[in-house]
Amino acid sequence: MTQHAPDTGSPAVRARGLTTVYGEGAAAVHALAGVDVDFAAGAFTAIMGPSGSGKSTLMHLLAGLDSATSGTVHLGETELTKLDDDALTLLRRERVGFVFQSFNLLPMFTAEQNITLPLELAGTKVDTGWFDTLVDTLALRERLTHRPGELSGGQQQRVAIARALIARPEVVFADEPTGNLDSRSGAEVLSFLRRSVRELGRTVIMVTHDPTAAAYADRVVLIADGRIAGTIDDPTPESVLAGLDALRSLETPVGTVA
Amino acid sequence: MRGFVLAQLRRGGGRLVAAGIAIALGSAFVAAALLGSDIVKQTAYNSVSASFAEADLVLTSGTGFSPETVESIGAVTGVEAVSPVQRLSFVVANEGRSDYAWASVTASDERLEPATVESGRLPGSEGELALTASSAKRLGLAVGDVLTVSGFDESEGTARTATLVGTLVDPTGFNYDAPTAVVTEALATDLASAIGVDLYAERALVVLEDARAASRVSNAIEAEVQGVNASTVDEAAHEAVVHFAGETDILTAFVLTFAGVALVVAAIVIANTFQVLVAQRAQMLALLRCVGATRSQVRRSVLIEAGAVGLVASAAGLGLGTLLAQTALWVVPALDLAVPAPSVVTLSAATVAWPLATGTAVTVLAALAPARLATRVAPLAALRPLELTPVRKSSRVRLVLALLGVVVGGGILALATFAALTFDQADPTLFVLAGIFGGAVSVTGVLIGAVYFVPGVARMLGSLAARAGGVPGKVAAANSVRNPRRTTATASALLIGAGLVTMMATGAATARGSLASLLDENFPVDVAVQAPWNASGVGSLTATQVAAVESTDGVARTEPVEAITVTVVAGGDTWSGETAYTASPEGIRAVSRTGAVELPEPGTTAVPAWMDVMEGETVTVTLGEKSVELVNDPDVMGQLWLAEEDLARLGGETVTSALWVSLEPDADPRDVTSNLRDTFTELSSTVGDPPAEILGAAVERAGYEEVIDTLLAIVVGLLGVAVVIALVGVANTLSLSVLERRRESATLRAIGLRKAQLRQMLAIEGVIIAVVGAALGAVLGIVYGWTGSALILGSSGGLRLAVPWRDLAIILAVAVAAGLLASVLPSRTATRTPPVAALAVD
Ligand SMILES: Nc1ncnc2c1ncn2[C@@H]1O[C@H](COP(=O)(O)OP(=O)(O)OP(=O)(O)O)[C@@H](O)[C@H]1O
Ligand SMILES: [Mg+2]
Repeated sequence: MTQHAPDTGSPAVRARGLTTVYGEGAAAVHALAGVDVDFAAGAFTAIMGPSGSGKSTLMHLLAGLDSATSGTVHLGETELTKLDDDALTLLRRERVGFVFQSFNLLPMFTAEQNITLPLELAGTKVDTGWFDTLVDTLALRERLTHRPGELSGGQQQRVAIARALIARPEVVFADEPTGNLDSRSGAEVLSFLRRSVRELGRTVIMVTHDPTAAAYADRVVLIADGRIAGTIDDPTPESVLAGLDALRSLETPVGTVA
Repeated sequence: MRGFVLAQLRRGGGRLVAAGIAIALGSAFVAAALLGSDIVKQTAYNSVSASFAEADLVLTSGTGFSPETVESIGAVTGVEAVSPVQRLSFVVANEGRSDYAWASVTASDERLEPATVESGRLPGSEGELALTASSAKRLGLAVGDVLTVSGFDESEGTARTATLVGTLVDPTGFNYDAPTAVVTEALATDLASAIGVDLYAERALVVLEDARAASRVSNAIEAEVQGVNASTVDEAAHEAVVHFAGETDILTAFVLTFAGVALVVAAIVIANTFQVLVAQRAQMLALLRCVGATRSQVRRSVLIEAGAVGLVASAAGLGLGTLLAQTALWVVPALDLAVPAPSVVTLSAATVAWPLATGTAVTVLAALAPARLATRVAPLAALRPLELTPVRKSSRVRLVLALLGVVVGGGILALATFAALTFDQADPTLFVLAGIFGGAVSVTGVLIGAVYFVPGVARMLGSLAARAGGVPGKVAAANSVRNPRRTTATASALLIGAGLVTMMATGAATARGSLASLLDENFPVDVAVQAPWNASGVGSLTATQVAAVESTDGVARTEPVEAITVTVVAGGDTWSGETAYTASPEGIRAVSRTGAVELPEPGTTAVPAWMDVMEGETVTVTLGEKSVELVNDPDVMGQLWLAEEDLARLGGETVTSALWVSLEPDADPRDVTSNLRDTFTELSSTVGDPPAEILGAAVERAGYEEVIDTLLAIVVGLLGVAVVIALVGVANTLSLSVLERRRESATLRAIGLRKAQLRQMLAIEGVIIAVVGAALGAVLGIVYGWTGSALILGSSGGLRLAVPWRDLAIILAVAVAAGLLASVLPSRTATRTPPVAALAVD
């Protein structure tokens, strides 16, 4: 397992010629039309783009949740596109973490049980040091015995983040992690995601619509019409907004924009 | 609103399939029971009307049909032929074998002859006779042979010889009145007068010139001939069947009781399904209420949906039941039962209406509570996210009702049981009825209160699963108690089925044990083989028979009982022709079941109670010139058993009247008994030794056990439907829960749960629910089985409460297997959910 991997430039996740076609014939939708992209290890990357541009599709493929029509995805040295369901499951269990927009905690388990679930699945012992680090950094100490129904949205999402990180995955994927949160809770969650990259050496890939959220990332990958449309390094809300506006002007028919 | 219902049915119809199957099975049961009863009646009708041959009218008369009466009937306009059905019973014999014949006289018109010739012909001239094929075979007769016919007491000179001119088709089981022999009128008259009876005809059959004139002619006959009642063949057959139908109706009611149990279980499954559906649709229902649907519209939407499902499922059930009945009819001819069963099922209004009505009504009734729940969904709920359905605290009313039922019902049951055990002389019927009432009330209480203890038991089982089953076990354990009511309802359905089966098995085991202990007291030996009595008194077993018994498989040891006919004198009275017995004391002890059988001491005996001899009085036993004086001691063994030396002093020649037999410990008494019977039958037909009687504890026990086992098998078979429905219920609950937990399953898959583990998780959940139901059912079944046995058998003494361990093991194994099986389909749905679904925002 990778420990505090330094930013060596070798990508944590690499996609080549990734294409996804939904439907057939005239009704075919090219959700992804040949995506080549690298995500650096030890970095916090945001994927942005207009609705329907293929962000979620891309993330599902990168995380091994779904299979592409063509193209390859590598997680470290492993080519995901070659693995079967059980191998993908093991990979998700050990090397990938997820944070969902709607938290997706198991309602019948306590916060603590939810956090340690991936370890139990893998049958490994809880590293109490790491567990304590996570719980303290996420300020969940007081909430460990509570069930999701007794937690606020922000608290639930922090539990979800702890769950995503507990097995020290190579990459954490987050799809709109702040979509269901108010701005203060959202900011908490985002700053923790950034801390987990900066201080704990994790790699985080996040899909978001929110330029403010994207500004927490080290880098923004812009996507439009199933293609990579550019990247923004060290983004600020303003630069992201500008990038998105540029995308929109690309999409709209020529002549309507000054 | 109708649009909403239709849309729901279209969208969620799949969710109702299991509930539909439950109801369909229940109404199929009702349909099959009713159709079966109709078929039995139809068959009875067929066989009765067959005995009327081609008659158009059946006449009855309280005074019989004299030749004059017959003549005046024949004279009525429209009557073409008339034949009185003259009956006589006598004995037919051939070479020492004999059979009983319930004969009729050859009809005067062949169209009116109910007997059907199998081979040969009907008797025509004097001294001729036809017998059923089976009777001819028993007597070893072929067509053309000569046999003896006589009254029951041959010695009175009633014997005649007759020639067998034909064999008859054996009458069917339903037609107990059918003739087993046909004789000429001359022979019948001769025999009747020799025996000293009159030839009597209770009935006469009539062929009309024009069958359409039946009612006119029957009126004319009744008017012109005194004391004669005329009815059409149809009417007469119906009347005869009504007699028989009474018994059929009791049987049908018995079977329908089990259909009722199945429907109750189905009702639980349905109520559960709708409860879940309403919970799953809460948000949608709230939305409807938001946009202006009234409470009663919401309620109606649920009830209409239930009605539609109920009707469709009942119709399917009716079809299934009909198919079942028809299959039975297809199978019957192959079984060669010789019953005139109809070849196709005829549906009547009742057999169609009842299954449809009960099925639909049960569905709608079961949906009443969920419908009420639906009306309670607040319009506000539409605006609230509904991740986890809040678990409503069970109402206080429920707790009070449950306790009331258990305490009052249990109290009545306990009192009735106590009374039955205490007043052992009284007729137990009253106690049993009170006990049944108390039992029903307390079971209702237990079921109402199930929600208070089923989840607890599920939690206990779950913690075992959680410890042993890793993450799948943990999640399954947690899931199984997430909706306590759902789990309770599902397990309760199974509890009823498993409980009733266990109760019956416990009752059967207890009855077996108790009867065994009673038999131990009443029968000193496993098997006693007793020679039949003959004209000269006590019979003797032949050496071949003794040897055959000794060499029968399973027989451990035999001991002869010697007997002799003596005269007993006591207190001035003399009884001649009594039988005195003796045997070797060591031998008899060795074959006895308890090893504690003691022959009377020399000088003592016990005379039969009816001789009215006081204890201690002297009894003189005489044989010819010799006699012994004995003291009457009613406490010693048997009746007129003597010590060996006392009997020896009489000096007569004894016969071996019986053999006492002990069996090998591992021998099945049923096998041994039936082997012995076969041996004797064979010896009787080959060597001509009259078959001996087989008595004893083992025999009685074999007989009782067979009855008990058969009854148990029938009842368990009938309960099986309820159990199957309950298992459908388990699968149903799992699939509904799986649909509800789509996101959760996907999340688990996303964070690393393998497909196999997901399947395992559902299997464990299924097993937990099924085992909780079965285990609780087993516990309750044992308690009620014991109480019931005490109620019924308590008064006879010798109650031995037993636990049917083997049956319990089977019930638990079935529960585990069923839990696993129930998870198969839900597992498929669950594993088809892609992990990506976890990311969906709905
Ligand atoms: N299962 C599917 N079947 C057919 N088309 C699909 C499916 N999933 C996605 N698409 C299409 O693929 C395209 C990309 O979808 P995707 O969900 O990746 O977009 P997105 O960038 O995540 O959008 P949003 O920001 O709205 O979440 C869209 O045009 C969508 O309609
Ligand atoms: Mg998306």
